[in-house]
Amino acid sequence: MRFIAGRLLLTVPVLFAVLTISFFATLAVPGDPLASLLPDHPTEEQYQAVAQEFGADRPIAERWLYYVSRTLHGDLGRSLRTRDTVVDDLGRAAVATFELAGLAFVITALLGVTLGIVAATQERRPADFLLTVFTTGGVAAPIFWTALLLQLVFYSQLGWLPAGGRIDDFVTLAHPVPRRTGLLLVDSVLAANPDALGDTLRHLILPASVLAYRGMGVVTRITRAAMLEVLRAPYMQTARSFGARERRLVIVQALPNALPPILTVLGLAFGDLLAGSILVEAVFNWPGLGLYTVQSISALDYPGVIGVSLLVTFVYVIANLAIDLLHPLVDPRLRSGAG
Amino acid sequence: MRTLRWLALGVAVLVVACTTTPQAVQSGAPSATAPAATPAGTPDPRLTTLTIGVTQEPQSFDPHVNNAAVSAYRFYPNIYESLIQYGTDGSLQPMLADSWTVSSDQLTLGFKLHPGVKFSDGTPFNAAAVKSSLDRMRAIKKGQVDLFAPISTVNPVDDTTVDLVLSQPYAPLLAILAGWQSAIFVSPTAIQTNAGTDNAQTWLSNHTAGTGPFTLESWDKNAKIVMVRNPNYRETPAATAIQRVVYQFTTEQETLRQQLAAGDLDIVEEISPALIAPLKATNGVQVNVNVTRGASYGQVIFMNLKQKPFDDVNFRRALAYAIDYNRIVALWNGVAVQSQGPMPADFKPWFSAADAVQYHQDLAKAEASLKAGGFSFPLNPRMKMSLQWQSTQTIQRDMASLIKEDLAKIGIDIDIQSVEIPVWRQAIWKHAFQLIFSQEPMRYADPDAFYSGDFISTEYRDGGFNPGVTDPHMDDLINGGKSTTDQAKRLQYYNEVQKIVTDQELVLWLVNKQQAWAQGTNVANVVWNPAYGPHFRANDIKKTGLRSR
Repeated sequence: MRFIAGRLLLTVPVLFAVLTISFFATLAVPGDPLASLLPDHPTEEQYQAVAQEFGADRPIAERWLYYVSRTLHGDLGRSLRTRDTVVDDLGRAAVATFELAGLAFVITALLGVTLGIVAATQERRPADFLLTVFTTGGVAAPIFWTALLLQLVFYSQLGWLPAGGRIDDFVTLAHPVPRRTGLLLVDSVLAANPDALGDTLRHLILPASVLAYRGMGVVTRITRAAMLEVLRAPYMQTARSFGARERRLVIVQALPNALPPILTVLGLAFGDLLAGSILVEAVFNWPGLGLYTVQSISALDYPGVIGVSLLVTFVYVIANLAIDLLHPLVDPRLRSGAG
Repeated sequence: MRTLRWLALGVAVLVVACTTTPQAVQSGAPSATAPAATPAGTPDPRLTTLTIGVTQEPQSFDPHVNNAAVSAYRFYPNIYESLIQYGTDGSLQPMLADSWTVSSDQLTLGFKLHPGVKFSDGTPFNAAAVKSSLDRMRAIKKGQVDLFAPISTVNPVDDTTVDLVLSQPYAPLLAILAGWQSAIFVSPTAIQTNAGTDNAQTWLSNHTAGTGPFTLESWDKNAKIVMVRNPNYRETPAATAIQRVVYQFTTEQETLRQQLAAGDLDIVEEISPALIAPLKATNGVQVNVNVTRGASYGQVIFMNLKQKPFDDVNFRRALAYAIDYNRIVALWNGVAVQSQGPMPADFKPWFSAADAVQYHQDLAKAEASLKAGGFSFPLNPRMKMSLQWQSTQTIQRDMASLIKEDLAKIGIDIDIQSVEIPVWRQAIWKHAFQLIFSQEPMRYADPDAFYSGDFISTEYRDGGFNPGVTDPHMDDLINGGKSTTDQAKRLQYYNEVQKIVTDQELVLWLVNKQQAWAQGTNVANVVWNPAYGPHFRANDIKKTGLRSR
């Protein structure tokens, strides 16, 4: 428990540093953040009206203090670009990204580990070779290229899957899905709307696969390496000599011992998912954090940029904390030390 | 080997899951002639929904706050209306006002309002509503308020008569009142009810209460905007008319192309020059290239005129003679023509070919100009200059590469830099540039729009767009044209201004862009009005069928 509390407490200075750095970084960038709210030829009057609205007419130190104190109260200010509160903006975008990245993470973990095991057991056979090509492709191919290619094939050519977005306009027109959680998979189940559920899944397949592909490549490679190491260990030879069945040996004996490095890589893959979502969301019009980040940066929307930085930092820290907490479960050597 | 079989099975399951999806979701309708059956008499919603692909969202649905022309062109015409409007022939036509008069001293504009008009919330549109909207805009001091500055009072005479009283004669006012800047009439009841602490600015950012045929139903940020019929609109639409307008937000042009080709989009309101050929070759898609003076984005390069060597007219002329305009025009795939100064050549009667000096690539003249200014040819030592382009306009980058090659020949080394829009604005406002791209829209259909922003000395300030023109004679001409309504006199003023700005090459004018846009062949009755930017009045438009893949 003390470990968890300590780690959570550690997030406070991390978040504070991120806040301060992104606050001053956005100010250091040349360009006037208010410019995107003004016409090409603003009068002094128009400029002042907008500056006052966003508090930009006050000294920097005062704005920073104000920003910190407001953040402590859970208020991230108002976006210069959308004019909505950043908390509302992030709430909307975060659930969309969570749904996408969540599914992508599940694919990364399940498929990555499974394929890694397959590759290890089939070492130097055709299956291993094919998987090497497939997974190296995931790491090597630029994510937007994969995204555009799959979109071209599965949407334009085959017409099997939608081009982008989260749900078809006409599906919700026929049977509206009331917003409860913001997660369309959950909301359409709650609304007992199978059409919406199916359509949401169809919209998720391409972006989630593309997003998962890269991380999956890494997870597969690491799983393969870790498994090979374990499979060659003397105790495995001993187990084999006792006549244990190979499949049982792989799943029950080898996999648990190979898990620690796999877990670490999964934690890192989670961070990659958030970064990758920036490009995937742009191609598939996914109204999530990635798209929000890009737009906030191009508009120099500093409340938006800081808000998104804080949120992503927080999620990343928590995700890695969760992975760290899982380690003792899979590695008995770590259990004695933990409270 | 067994594992491989499992893998193959898994892939097969995925493929089947992809292909066996519900019919209604998958394909719309099988063909253009057989719309899917729906309950008694109501047409297929796909036939009465107009889906428009857009790359940018609006700033706000508050017309008193918005200052982005594109927001207003794209999203307002179905919702808000102005007192008067431009007909497709460029003449002034009634809209919310049936008729108007100008007093002999040019200081009072009287409008007779169309009776029986209501806002979408049921509030009557009358003289008091006109006053309320104009007063709110001037109280908030945002958006396009500067254009209305010469209006001193708004005077409701009776329910359907309203006078605008001016502090000085203001010739461009009728043009402004017919422009997008004047589609500003919002229900006073809605504003009062939702005032909050900011005079309803928050509420109006994503709600509407206008007099137009549609009203905003929802704005799913970064995804789509849905408009539905205004229940209080003064005409009753046919059951087969467009009932919903969906603006689908898509950042990638390539995605827009695919969606239009597949029939998921009915209209893409702007396509990049690179997509013209592929879309023309696509079945069921029609590509249009139209003149739009309302958004006739003149693509220009500003030179910092107060800085050496740009303060020397000879140097500016040398630049103008060094550029190969034909190559730049070719880059636009037929949707742009070389500019002859700030005004489009079809802007009659104001454009005067006799007064517009046209530059062509001519290295001998570039050499003569440089030598006339005391420079060597080619420049020795070579000069280094930065050329900034707006990061959202990749075609500016392509033009910049060509210009870099051209200018290298006279001894100038160009450093091409990409800047985000806010950075770009500030560079111009603070005069922190050497060469910088700009797109110059026609704010309103009056010659004043081309000059009073960029060439009047009061606009050479922090926040202004004037690149450094501070000439009292120009000020007299521009102010003279603004404050008289004598057509002959105005023409005389503006012809002289046109001659000075082009002869002196105060800006490097490159091309005037036309609007390339695309629609499905099943979309009919699109009325293109060159006076405005790309705008699609769903009230006129019909879908004749559905496109199959």
